[in-house]
Amino acid sequence: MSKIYYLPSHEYVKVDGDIALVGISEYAASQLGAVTYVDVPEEGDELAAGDEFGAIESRKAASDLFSPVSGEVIEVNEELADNPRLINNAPLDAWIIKVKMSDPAELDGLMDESAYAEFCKKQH
Amino acid sequence: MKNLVLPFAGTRPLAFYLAMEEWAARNLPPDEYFFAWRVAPTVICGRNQDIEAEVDLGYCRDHGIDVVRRRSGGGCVFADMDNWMFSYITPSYDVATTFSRYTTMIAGMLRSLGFDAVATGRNDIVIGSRKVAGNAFYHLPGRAIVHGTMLCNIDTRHMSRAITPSKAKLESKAVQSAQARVTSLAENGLAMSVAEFGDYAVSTLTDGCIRLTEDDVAAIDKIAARYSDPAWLARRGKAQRRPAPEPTICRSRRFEGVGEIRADITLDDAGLIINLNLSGDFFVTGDIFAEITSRLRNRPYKREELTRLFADIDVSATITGLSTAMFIDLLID
Repeated sequence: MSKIYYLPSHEYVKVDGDIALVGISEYAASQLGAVTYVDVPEEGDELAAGDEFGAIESRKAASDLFSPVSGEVIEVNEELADNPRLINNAPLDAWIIKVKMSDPAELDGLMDESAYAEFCKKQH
Repeated sequence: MKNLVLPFAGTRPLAFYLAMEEWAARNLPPDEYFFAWRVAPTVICGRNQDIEAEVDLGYCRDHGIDVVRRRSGGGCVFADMDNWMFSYITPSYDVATTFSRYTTMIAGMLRSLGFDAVATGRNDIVIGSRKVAGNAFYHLPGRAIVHGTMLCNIDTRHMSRAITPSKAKLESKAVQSAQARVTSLAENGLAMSVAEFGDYAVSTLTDGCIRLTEDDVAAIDKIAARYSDPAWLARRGKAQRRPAPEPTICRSRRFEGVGEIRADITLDDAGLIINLNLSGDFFVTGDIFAEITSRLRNRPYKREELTRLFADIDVSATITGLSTAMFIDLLID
């Protein structure tokens, strides 16, 4: 059973054991509109929580991406290179990177689903 | 909204001002900030553009035109001292609202000078139907940056030579940037100098200023160095690193009032359209990728399907003179 957490910069992390899937929230995807490019790191890259790991460009805007957790990038979602709009279709399924977490305790500092929903309400 | 004022006169390379936006977004308290700036001749490319394909680098080198890659998306633009660049930093995350608030504010400032300026849904500002300002958007944590051009005069010679429509892929926005119908404030009767217009814009849009210190400038210079990294300038979007698929079908037609137009269509094994590349000497007024090619992706290459997909689409709004019927005739018998 996976659990989901969010950053204030609208990345989500879905966690299963020590494996984390990182993508952008439905709110962020709806804000960006049609995604045209996703910049991703290399497999094997080491990330610290809060590191910029890539960016998303849409028809309307570009957004940097930040990692909610520390660890090694063990996979990038190659499908997004050919079809970046998967992010618009189903942001929570269209994960961008898979990270093997080095410090799962970091998750305690993130927002859970209800806290994030409240946070989004305050965005303007 | 506060105007950010630098502790020196004169102009810096364009990277400095992009860095100044980032510095303000990362360091100043959450509020709205604005500054207006001008640069020596510079081509500014979008975050994921293929610079080799979009810019005549030899021409730029020979004519002392700087080439910079920004962190926001979109197409190439040319800027020089006859063009004001406006930067707006806001704590808002909402793209549509922020864009709309910003472009409405800028259009209002132009209307106060008597220009018939309107903000468009494409986040541009037009006078009549011609673009006078284009804008791009960049998110940082907790902040958004909107920056854009404001054409006071147009140097068509550099603008058309530095950005290369001949080499550009039509799926990219470079062609639009270079060929879109643009106008300038001077063409519309700007009754003051370019410098005076900048002062007017700042005084109309802002209510007070924040004076940056030499320490702030040193911090901005550090950020600017990142833009000078050759690896950043040379980078391309991941999608562009992949070789373009070999076309399955190449069709070419000449249409009266449109010009020669060629369609390279790539199909997968199931007969679905993977890619469409349009090339030729036609005139682009919209976003070909968004309005045309993206609609075809993963759709069957069949006349009735194409007719259905484009039933409510006016292709001539994107490619001048090319009716939807002509477009379908171009693609398929």
